[in-house]
Amino acid sequence: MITLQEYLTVAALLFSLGLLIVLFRNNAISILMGIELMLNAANINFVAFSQSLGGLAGQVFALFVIVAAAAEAAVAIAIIVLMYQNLGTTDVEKAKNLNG
Amino acid sequence: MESLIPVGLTDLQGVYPALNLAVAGIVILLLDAFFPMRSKLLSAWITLIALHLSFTCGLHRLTSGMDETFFHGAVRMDPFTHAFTVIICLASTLAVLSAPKYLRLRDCHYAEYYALILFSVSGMLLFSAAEELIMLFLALETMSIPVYCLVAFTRDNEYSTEASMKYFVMGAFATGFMVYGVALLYGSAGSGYFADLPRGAASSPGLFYSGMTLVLIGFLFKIAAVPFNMWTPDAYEGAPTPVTTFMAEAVKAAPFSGMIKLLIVAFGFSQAVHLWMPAFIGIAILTMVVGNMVALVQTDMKRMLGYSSIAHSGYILVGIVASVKLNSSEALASVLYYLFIYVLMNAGAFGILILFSHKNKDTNAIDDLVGLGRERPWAAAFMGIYTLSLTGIPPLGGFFGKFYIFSYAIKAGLTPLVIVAILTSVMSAFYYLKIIVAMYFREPSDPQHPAAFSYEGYSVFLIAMLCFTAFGVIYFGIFPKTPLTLARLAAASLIPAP
Repeated sequence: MITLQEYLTVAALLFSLGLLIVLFRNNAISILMGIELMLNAANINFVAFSQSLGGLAGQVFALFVIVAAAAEAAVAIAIIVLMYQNLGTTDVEKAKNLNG
Repeated sequence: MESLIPVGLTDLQGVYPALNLAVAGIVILLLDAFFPMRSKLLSAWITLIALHLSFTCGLHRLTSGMDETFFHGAVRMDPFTHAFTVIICLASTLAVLSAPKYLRLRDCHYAEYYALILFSVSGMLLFSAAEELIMLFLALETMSIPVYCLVAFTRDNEYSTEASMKYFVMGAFATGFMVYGVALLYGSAGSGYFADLPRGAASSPGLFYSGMTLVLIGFLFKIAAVPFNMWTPDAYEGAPTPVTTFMAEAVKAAPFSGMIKLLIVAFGFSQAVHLWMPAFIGIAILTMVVGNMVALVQTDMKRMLGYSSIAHSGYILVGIVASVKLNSSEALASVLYYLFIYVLMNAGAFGILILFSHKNKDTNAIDDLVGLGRERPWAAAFMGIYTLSLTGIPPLGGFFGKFYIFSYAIKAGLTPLVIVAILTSVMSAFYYLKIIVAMYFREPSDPQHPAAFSYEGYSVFLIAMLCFTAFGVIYFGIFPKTPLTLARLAAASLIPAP
């Protein structure tokens, strides 16, 4: 039997992993994957809580998060393609036209 | 086995302002797909009419004091929501009015622009109505995702693409924080309804407070508070100017609505307030100081207004902290009034930039405005009104907005915070006045060939927008009674009078 604590630990690890990827990787696609990891960590939490608390709210929530993540990924990939066309790179560190 | 969740006609009528916009967006997309027209003005008109309908509906509901919940309590249409409906619809109308000519100059006047704006606005309206975490999250995504696309709307422009990339990464990052926080809050309280959340603080405080922190960090990203502000200047500078207008007003005001509601309804009990209040005071100070300091050295107007919008977030945070501390609806009303005025003056300032944008180049640098006062006295006068109002010079609206917020903050005993706020707004006068000095007092570097100012971005829509904002900044500054009464009505629904 896997306890709630263990689910939460895995989710926290995944979340930190996603966070580190977003902070330290430069490739736009890697960053997108990091963000997906963060969202899915939250999903594990939702489902685990839903299991331990009873009720379906958590599972419904996870479904909505999946939908939103898909929409976000679609837009993100469009932006990455655009970036490759216009700047010739998918490296966010090399995109430095705006001095920020 | 429970039956399917019934969604009745009353529910749909309840969210009419948001629904109307989403339907109009779909209509625009379908019309453009099946009956493509060269001129996209029909789409612009449909957008304006839909926004107008939502605006009047919000205003009507606000004055009649409607306060009902729909969708099993997930959506609450109270006067606070109606007030934000009014502010956000007004802000989006101003942004839409500024768009058509600019997009035509850039050869990207597509109907999708208006559809994306409408989808985003419908998300914002639901955002301010959300009383449940799923609703809050979905509305946030509906609001943000179209804006990522809008920032990249000038497709072959590399600045626009880069801005969109940066904005997306930061926005999605913030969403990740927020969703994780929401999961923890749900786990602690066992329910997503705001009103049930305080229960979670008692049963499992560890989960609740870490969830609260993550959700608030997500919000602070969205309102661009320091140290979560790094995306703002880049996104503002790179985006097409009408989109910057939209981002600086509507996309700015909407997260405040959700945040205020969450702070008061879910995190309004004293243990939680003791935790987030000091953090918010620190962040407000940082936001005002950093926003204004960095704005001082900017030479690009859009970038400067980006930093100034960060600073304005700081003033609004002061107002929120004061109203929670005093537990007074009057103080919250001053925040709403400030947002209203902020929308007007900021829209105007961007409008002038759009008026002088050229076919392939924006007029963004402060140096580009040298001699405007002599060449185009009217445009310079309008710009003067907006910048003076942003500085906070009486009798313009911006002054009274700041004045109300600061006076309530003093009443709440936040004197050090107010001292910082006043010092930083004095500092802000330097960079706002730099624009006025450039327009009226600086000689062009090459006197033989002074810069030519042609109204390339001129359109009737834009002129209407400029006249309305200039009039509003003056009129609602001198006669603040109407918006303040409405704002009090709205605030009283969230903080009942003692």
